[in-house]
Amino acid sequence: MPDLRESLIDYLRAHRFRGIAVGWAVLIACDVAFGSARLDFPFSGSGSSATPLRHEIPLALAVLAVGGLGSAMDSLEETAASGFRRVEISCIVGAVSAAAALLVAAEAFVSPMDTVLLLLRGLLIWVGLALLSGRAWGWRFSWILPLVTLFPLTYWQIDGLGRFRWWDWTDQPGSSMPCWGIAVGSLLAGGGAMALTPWRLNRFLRAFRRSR
Amino acid sequence: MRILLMELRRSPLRWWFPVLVALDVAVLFGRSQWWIGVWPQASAAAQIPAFYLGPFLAAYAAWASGRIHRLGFEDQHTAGTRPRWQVEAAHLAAVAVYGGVAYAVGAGVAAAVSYDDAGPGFLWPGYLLLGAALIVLCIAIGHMAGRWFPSAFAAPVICGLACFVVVTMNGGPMEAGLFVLSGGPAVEVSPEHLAVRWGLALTAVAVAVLTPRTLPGYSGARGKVIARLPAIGSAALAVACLAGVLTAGPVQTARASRSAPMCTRAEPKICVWPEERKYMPRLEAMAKRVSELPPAITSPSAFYEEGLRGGKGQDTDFKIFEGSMWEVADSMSIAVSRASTPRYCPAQNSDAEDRRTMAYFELDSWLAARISGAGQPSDIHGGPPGVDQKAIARLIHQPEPAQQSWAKKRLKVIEGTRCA
Repeated sequence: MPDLRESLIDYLRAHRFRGIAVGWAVLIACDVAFGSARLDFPFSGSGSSATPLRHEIPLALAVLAVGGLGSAMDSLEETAASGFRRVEISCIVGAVSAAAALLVAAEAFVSPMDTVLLLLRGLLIWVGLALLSGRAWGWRFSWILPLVTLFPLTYWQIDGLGRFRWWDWTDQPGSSMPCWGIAVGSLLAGGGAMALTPWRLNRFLRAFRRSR
Repeated sequence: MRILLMELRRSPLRWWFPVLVALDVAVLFGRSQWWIGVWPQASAAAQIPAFYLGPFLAAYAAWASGRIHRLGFEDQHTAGTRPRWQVEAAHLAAVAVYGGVAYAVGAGVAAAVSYDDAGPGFLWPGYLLLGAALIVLCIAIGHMAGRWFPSAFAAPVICGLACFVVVTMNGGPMEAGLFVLSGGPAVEVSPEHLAVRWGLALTAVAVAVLTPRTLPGYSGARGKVIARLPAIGSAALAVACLAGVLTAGPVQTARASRSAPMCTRAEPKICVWPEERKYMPRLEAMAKRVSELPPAITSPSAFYEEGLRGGKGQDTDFKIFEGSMWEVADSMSIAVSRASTPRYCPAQNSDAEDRRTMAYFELDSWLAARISGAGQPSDIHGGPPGVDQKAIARLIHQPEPAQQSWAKKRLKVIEGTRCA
């Protein structure tokens, strides 16, 4: 399909894919170089809860991937036709897969399997949240909700007995099921946000008004 | 001033203001409430939200200050009749006003809930100003980043994350001291430390506001350098202030003016800083329990909180850690067992040494339980190794003679240990 390929390339060009690639490269380099630096969050109480920097890296990867949906022609793209939607969706799926592949490739050398799972889970959670906030405030504000999660994750992550709470996906081991549940929920929410295009939202609102 | 009002009215931050206040209050009450009723502790607690408000406002400022460029108004602003720095300062001030008001609301709430228990006094301005300096510094960094890299996406993300990570890793009370975690009454933020931090924040603001992006109308290398002089000067000052912050040592120093301690009426006296009057009823009960200890135990005539006696008695004075009376009883138990037993000397052999250490551990645990009136609380972990804290908690409810003979046995082991 030369047609789709061409439009894909056009799409990537309009959406600053070079900047995103550079950003990812810098992040992965930071991850490998400083990933094990400990973020000693000041409010973690007496328990030892220093989270390694690498557990937070997927946040930036996810925000970048989703931020790539934004372009200088945001408002025009909101009225897109089905062809554009197809490209848009394949691009975001591709971008998230590429970010995941990069992360796995870099981490496989330096971290055990469990950490790789933990990071992948974080990536999925933050991608969902980034999609949600991108839909709410515009794609270039994909960072709002992911950045907000840093507050509970660094302030309430420890319970009274010095254990990590069940939802603390940056510290619970990669095999922790509740956190994978959060990942599934977040992805569903993000997918829903992706599907809720302005025209569908309009249609819903109109139907809602008529039924009242 | 008119630009500032216009900016305040139009800023998207007006929708986010309730979120900022909610964040502030969540940080204030979300983790602990023991600081309520002690003025210095309440002030330190009201300062902590700055740690989260700062990076958020940095991200916002980076987005906001890039607007002029993104919307294509760069030339118009440069050619305007008002000097460029006034426009920039108004934009920056608008962010600071929203952040500052949210922060002040949090401080007001902290003062309101503390007012009943805390007695005379008010929030300590030192801590509040420390947090405000962190907020202003973050906003200035965000503004600077937004002016140089007017991207609507990269600048806010990088600025928010970088401020958060850098402040986490380097801003702690033991490092650069951009924030503190608690404010015991024995320490304070001295005016010099505060001045250096505000110097850093204000010079950062100056750099953010004065740096020209383009220099139309200036020709020649010399003219351009002269036009950049204010920015270069304030940048040099900022670097000097940063060096000052990094080398000045811990931000909290021993309190300069020592006030008269507040002591229990019951003997032995337990003395604390007057700011901690809300603990007085519990301390009176503890003093009474110390006086009820068996006659074989001798207690010191007075106990002091850390810092009350200046440099003296640092190893026996107690500390009220996060409002925990158990920690107080624990320190007092050590002072009591020291007063009841002969001076320490190395034992003849390691077996005797171990026996004596164990006797001390058990005696101390029993004393702490007696003084606090209950066993070790369930949320406290650790304690002396090898001591069954549950058994100790049962022991203090047994009849007095049984406890006396139990304690005498331990005292005998300690007194019977021969010195080498």
